[in-house]
Amino acid sequence: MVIAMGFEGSANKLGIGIIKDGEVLSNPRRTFITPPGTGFLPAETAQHHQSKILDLTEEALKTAGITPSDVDVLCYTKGPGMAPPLMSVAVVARTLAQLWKKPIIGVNHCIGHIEMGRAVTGAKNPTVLYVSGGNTQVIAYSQQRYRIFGETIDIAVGNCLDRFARVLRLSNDPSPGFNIEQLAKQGVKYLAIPYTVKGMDVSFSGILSYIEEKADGLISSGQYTPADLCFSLQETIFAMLVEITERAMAHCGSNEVLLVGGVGCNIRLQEMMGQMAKERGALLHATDDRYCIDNGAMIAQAGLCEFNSGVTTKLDDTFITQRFRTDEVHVGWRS
Amino acid sequence: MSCASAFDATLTIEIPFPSSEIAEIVFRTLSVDREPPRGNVRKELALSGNTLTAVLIARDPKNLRTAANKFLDYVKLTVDTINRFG
Repeated sequence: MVIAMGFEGSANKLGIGIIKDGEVLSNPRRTFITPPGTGFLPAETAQHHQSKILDLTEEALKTAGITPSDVDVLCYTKGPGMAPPLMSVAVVARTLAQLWKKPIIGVNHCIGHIEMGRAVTGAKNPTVLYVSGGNTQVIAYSQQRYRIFGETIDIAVGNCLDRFARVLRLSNDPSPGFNIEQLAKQGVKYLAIPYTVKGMDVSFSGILSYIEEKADGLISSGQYTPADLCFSLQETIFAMLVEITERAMAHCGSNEVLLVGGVGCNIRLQEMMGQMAKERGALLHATDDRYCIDNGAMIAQAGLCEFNSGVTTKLDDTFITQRFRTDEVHVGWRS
Repeated sequence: MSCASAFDATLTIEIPFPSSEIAEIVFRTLSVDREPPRGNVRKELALSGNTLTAVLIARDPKNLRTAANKFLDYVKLTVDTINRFG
C-alpha cells in the first residue's frame, strides 16, 4: 500500500502525480505555452513552474483524497532536462521531504516514461521508442539496464517539429506538434525531404535546416501549402523512426514495441509503427496524452519501482543534472 | 572572508529566519546544487543559528546581480513551500 508522489518539470510541462498500488489517484498538469513563432526559454519556464507548483501540489493531494502524512515517498525528476525548471521542482520536493519527513528519490525522466508505459500498457519486455521534444532514443532492456540501441545524433524529433511549427507560426496551444499533426491531415502534395538514418541512429538538424530554408519560398510561390509541408515532414521523419525501431527489434528478436514520450501521442506515428509491427507479427503498445506527455505520475511510478527495490536518494545527493543517460540507472527492480 | 581574490566582486546576503529549524531546511535545500559553471559565479552558504548567509563571488559584478536574483527566487520558493505545507 505504498503511496508515491511524483514531481515533474524538466521542460515546459509541470506535473504532479500520486500513485497508490499501481493506481493513479491524481495527475494534474500545467503547460507553459509561448506565443506562435516562439519557443520556451529556461528562465521563463522556471518562473512559470515556480508560480504554479504550490497550487498544483495542493490540487494533486486534494484530487487524490490524501494528506501529506499518507505519502510514503517523494519522487522528483533529477534529469535530464533544462536546469532552471528542474531546479524549481527539485527545491520544492526537497523542502517537502524535510517538512513531511519523507524519503526522497531522484528519478531519470526517460525511465519515468518507460516505466509508466509498461505499467499502463502491460507490455512485458518491449523495444521502446522514446520520442519527445527533448529526447529521441530506441531503448531495450538487458541485464538491469535500459540500453540505448539507437538515438538522434543531434536534435530530438520533437524539437525538429516544434521549431518547424515556429517557421509556420502555428499556435503552441496545446502543443506545436499537435497542431502540425492536425495540419498534416490536410496535406496532399509530397515534398521529397532528406532522409537521414545513420545505421542505428538518426539525424534531424539537417532536415530542419533544409525545410526552414525552403518553406517560405515554396509557400509564397504557391507550389506547396503549409499542410503539404507538415505532411511531408511527418512522413519522412516518422519513417526514419520506424526504420531504426525495426532494426533494434530485429537485433533483439523482439515482438513488442512501446511508444512513449510526447511525440508518441501522434496518431500518424502510431499508425506507421503499428503497420511495421504487424508485418513482423509484433504488437504495438501506446498510451494516450495523459501519460505520453510529461506528467508527474510517471515520475512517481519509476520512483516507486526504485523505492520497492530498496533505493532512496540522500538529501545531499538530490541535485539536478541536465544530462542523465538512460543507461546510467541500475534497473534493480527487473531481473 | 572566503576564497575571493582582490579582483573579485562579492555580495553577501544574510537572511534571519523565525527559527533555526526553518533556517536549516532552507540551508539544506539550497546547499545541494552547485552554481552553473558558465555563470562565472561561486556561491558559499553558511548556517548560524537562525541566520542563513550566502556569499556570491564573481569577477564581473553584473553576474552577481543575476545570481543573487535567482538565489532569492529559490529562497522565496522554499519559504513559500514551508508557509504553505509546513
